[in-house]
Amino acid sequence: MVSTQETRQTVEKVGSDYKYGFITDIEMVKAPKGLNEDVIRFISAKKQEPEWLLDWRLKAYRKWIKMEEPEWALLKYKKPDFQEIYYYAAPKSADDRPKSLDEVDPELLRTYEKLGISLQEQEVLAGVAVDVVFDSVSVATTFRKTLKEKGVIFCSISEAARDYPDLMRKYLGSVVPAADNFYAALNSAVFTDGTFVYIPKGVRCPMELSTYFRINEANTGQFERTLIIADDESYVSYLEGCTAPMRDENQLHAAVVEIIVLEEAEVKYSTVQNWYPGDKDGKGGIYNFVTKRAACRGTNSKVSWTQVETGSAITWKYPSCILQGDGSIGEFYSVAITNNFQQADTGTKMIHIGKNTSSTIISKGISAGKAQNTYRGLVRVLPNAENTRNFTQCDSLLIGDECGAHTVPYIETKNPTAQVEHEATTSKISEEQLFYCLQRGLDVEESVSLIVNGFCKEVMQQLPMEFAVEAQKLLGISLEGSVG
Amino acid sequence: MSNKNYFSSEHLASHFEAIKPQLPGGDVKWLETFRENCMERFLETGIPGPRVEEWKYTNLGLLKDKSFEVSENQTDIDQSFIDTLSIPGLKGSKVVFIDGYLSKTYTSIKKEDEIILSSLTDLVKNNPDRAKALFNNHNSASSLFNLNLALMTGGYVLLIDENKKLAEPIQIIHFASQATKSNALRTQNFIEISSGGGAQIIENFVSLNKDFKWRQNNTQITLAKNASLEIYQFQNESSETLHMAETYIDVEDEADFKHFSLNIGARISRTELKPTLIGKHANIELRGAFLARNGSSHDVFTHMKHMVPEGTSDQVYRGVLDKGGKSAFQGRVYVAKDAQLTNAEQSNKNLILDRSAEANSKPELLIYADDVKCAHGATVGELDQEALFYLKSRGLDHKAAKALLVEAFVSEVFDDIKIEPVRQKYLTLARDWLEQGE
Repeated sequence: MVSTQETRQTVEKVGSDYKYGFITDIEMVKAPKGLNEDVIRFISAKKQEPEWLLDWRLKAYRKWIKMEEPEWALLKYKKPDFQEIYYYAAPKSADDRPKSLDEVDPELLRTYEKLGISLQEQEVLAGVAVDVVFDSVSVATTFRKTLKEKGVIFCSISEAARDYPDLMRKYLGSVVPAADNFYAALNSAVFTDGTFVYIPKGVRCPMELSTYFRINEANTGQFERTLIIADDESYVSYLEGCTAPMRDENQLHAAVVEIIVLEEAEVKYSTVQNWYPGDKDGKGGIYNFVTKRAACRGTNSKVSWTQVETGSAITWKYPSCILQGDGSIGEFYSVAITNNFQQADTGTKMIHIGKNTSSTIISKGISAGKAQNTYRGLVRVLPNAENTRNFTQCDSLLIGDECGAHTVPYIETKNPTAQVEHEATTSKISEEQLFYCLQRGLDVEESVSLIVNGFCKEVMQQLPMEFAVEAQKLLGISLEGSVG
Repeated sequence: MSNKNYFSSEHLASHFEAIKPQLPGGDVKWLETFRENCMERFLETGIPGPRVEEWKYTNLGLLKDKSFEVSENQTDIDQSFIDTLSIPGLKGSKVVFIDGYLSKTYTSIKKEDEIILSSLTDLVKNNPDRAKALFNNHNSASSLFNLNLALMTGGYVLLIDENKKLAEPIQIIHFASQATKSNALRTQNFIEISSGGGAQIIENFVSLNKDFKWRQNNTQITLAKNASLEIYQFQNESSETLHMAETYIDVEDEADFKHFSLNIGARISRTELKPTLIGKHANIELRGAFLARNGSSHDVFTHMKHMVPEGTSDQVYRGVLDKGGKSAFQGRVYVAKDAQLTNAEQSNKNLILDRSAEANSKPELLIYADDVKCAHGATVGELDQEALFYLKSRGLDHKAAKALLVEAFVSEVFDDIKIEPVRQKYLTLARDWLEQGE
């Protein structure tokens, strides 16, 4: 097939084109390489954390050393050597943290400009409040004043540990326990920063909240932790974006996101994950092991996960919803694109506990080059979850004959009134569709971009405006001209 | 034995050592070596625990510290009882196993079938070269398949020549009695159909034991070019039985394999079907229903391997879960890199009738080729209330309306059965089961 040849070329071209692959030269403060209790104490001291948090970390660490790395995912990779990683790296200037944007290291600001998020511009124009996490520490949080007027707390998690210990103690680890799984335990032990959000009762957060993560230093791992609490009848939309420089060695990213949604509250969490995927020979790239979980604790609470996964060499990620409150709703919309040697094993878990709970799963997997893309999802209905409803649709698109697309759903039902449906298809871009576009005057690249965008439409529609544009561009970059 | 995901299986090793001399063919050296090798392979891992992904929904912990006994049953069974286990109206050969041993008394092989159908132990005695070839053909099978090979006490062998098609279906009856102390029944069967040949096999598993019994009945099948085979399995074992049936099928060009299963009884049943499409244009259809209540649990595991282009496969499974019933369907479709133009379908629907029931479904697609059509669907739900209301409004009482709907739900699987007495038998069994629930 001629078209396949073209695909390969385009895809190869794209592969070498990771536009966020620059490195920023900033003086860094690092903890000694490797992991032991002293390193954890060092991190905790650097963060000026209260005693209870250090104990919590140490407890997680002691459990972690006894745990084994999970092997059930359809992923092949060289396991990271956890003693070869720096667990703490921070820009030096962060030692005396800037009070406002004017004080932020200009070099850092330029980095974010390259990334396309000019903080000043954002503050003025976009109306999106941004918390930026650079390697391990949060460097700037914009819009704090406006949010404060509404009572919204939006700060780095280290600040929260100092300033809002009650909330932290109550909720930290309440959705993802410290020793939940191998990577969550590691994160609990060494998490260096992340974002803390609290939306008070009845408040509709006036703007989209956003975090931008970036790994910069070599041999560092990024372990951030996000905690979002939406109190009764509140609403927040939260965006997360990630990039990393191009490096030959694999870097580890093990994050934890916990969301607590109370009575009638709603949280919308969107991610555009664009970590460095490695080069076209599969060298380098980020290992992305993430535990994301939301607990709908109140009646009629709602959580919606939307993710566009285009980066990372390895993705291991299952944003989940625990639907405890009666009438609560969980949604999961996902586009996962893998190219070259990328491997993704991603999906969701919907645990129906309360009555009249419902969940929707829409997953679109696109696999090109020599990549492997797996959807793995669990829908579990417990005995007391009356009248639950689940609909799952997983579609996979294969581009080229050397990649793989896999679907591994688990459906576990213990209640007769539940209605659970699962559908999955696997296909390639049809010759007819492509031919039609071509004869209307589009070139191959535009046609494929159009078709793939159409394939992902249901998910892209869920993204907030600001992100939809970026995500669509990313789709274009990753797959323009890909024809199967 | 260091893998903590597997149960310790040392007790089975000592069981093997104890009964080795009395196993059929115990005096044949090559067979003894073969059994020892299989035992060794089994012991490399042992009995899979619930942390082994494929055994996630069925816990074999009950085998952990059981002691096993095996002996040939001498008690007589009434011929008329055996007749009740047969399907009326079928005139073909009949092979009867009692407590894991082939019973010469009740087995009746038609003259025209004598060359092709035989007992495994006879084949070992009379044609050791052929038997060796069959045994050595066994592929990288599961640990439990190897265990069965090591400990097998009998089985049937069906070898069909080119272009020969059997006129009548063969019936195989596996009966387990209460009379024997033997609590591990292991049969191993081989089927080889040469190009253009064809056969139909009906297997019926019935048991009356009130104490624990572990039955393994494994089959290894090779279908050459253009061959066809249909297998019908009924499982209605006693509630103290652990029933396992594992089948490997190699399917060559244009060959056709159909499998129908109905699981009703047993405490735990596990049906494993592992077809490999190694020839182009092969066609595989798997159909099955599982009905569970009162602590009974059915686990159907299929692994469809499309290794070459242009194969088709279709799987349809229906589950009905009543009070205290549990089921798992794990269907895996694997499409290799070269298997372009594969068409693979899979559907699993489950009906939950009671809140103490549980249905699990894990339909998996593993696809490495880009020009394929693969789809799967799975649903779990209760009876359609509107349909129920409609029937009641037409004058049916609740019980009858419910039975009618459940029957319709299950019978979808049996509609394709061409042998009418067999189809009737399926329907009767399913109907009886439904009535018992009321």
